[in-house]
Amino acid sequence: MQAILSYDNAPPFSAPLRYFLSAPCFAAAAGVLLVVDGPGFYVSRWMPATLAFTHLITLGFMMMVMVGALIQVLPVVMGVTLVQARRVVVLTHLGLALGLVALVAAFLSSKSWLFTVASLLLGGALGLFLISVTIAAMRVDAPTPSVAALKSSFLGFAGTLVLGLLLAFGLALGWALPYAALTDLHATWGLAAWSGVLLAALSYITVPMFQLTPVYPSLLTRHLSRLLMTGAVLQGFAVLVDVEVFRQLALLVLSVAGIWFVLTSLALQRKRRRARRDSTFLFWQLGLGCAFLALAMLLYFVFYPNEQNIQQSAFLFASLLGIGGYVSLMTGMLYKIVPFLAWLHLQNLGPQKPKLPSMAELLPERFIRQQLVAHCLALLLLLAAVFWPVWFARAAGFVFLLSQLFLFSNLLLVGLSYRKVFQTASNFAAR
Amino acid sequence: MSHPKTEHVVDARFMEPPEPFEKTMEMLDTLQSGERMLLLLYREPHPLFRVLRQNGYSYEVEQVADGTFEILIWQ
Repeated sequence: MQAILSYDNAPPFSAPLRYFLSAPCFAAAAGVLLVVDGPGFYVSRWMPATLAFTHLITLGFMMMVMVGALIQVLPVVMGVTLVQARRVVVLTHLGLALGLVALVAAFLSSKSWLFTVASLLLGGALGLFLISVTIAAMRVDAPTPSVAALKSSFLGFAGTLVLGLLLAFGLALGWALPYAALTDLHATWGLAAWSGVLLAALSYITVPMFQLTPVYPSLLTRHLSRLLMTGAVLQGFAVLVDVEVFRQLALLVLSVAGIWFVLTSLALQRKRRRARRDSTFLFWQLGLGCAFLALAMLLYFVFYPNEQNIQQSAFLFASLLGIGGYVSLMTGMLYKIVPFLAWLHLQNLGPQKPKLPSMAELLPERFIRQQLVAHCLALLLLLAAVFWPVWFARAAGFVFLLSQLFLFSNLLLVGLSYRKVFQTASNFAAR
Repeated sequence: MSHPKTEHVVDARFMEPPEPFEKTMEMLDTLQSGERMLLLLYREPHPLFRVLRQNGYSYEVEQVADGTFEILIWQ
């Protein structure tokens, strides 16, 4: 079968792959930072290296994965067509990568012009991407729960971006802003209103599709995004009027909403139709478990604030939710999406194509399992480092770095297998 | 497996990707002219729709009470 797919409605495999390959590279760089900085990293969340690390994970890993997923999942799985896809894909990737490098350099050197450069690059690239996907999503007729959640997530994206740019320009130009409160707000919008809502939207499709669970209950799919957005907006309001009880209410709403999603996902996993405990399933169990712990912690601190160990609590929460939660969940998803997309694209080689490798041959399960072990070890060390930084900080950074390089090599393997089959098929066709 | 709409059915509701896609393509290859096949899934398979359209197949989607999408395909 010949299938001619235009770039706009089905970008080639290389389009998302560059994002998916960049993600573990930036996460590995975060590991390097931790190795170099050592125990000093854990003194305070406001340390330059700590802020740089945070953004290497949130922008370098999470954002890269989310943008890459949107670029391919939107057209291929949801039938949503991107505008100017080729330009958007390339420019967003460049701007995001270079902007992040500038941002990390800015944090580490405290040079204001670097904050300006980072703001312009990140603002430009992410703004461009946001406009492109928003236009695409608005064109979709079928109002499925995923598409509705997706649209909410773009609002979350916009809010996070605006707050981030505000902070960066403020640092560049020396504005008097309530930096601590705004940073917390930026983090909330980034983790809940953007990443959280997007992860949920993608889960509604990919979890039943790849893990053969029942579909997410409609009560959740209809209201979760709204709850998360409400919490985020409430927190914004709390910052504006500087009223503590609103902040507590916001965190209450957010943690309850997050726990709802986690528990529902765990319940669905128990009802899998084919009970294969493959690595993606295990990554998800790990991710959901860590997210639950982090959110339970958050909920607890709403009622019993831990004034004494506030830095340690912050590090524990961030490690559990960020590395334990989001990185695990996204990695699990990647291990299904990437081979599937490679396989799907190879279908379009036409009737002369050679015998295609199966998805399992594109990426053997045992490699995924080994990387999972490395990731678990890294996570354990990172959590230990929160309490005993002198002992564990550098080791955690090193093992985390290795586990991310391993992830990179697994994903690269898919890319290389794809290219080999593609080249063989082109040779076939040329005869 | 049979169904009121046609006797050529692929029940992909319990298959992991890309098996639903593969089984559908296999069955389409075996259909005689005038025959139709039915694909059962718990979601709408957009990648498949695209390939069907580009290869001159038509399809019709109906969602039934239990959430199953019944996708009737013919050439």
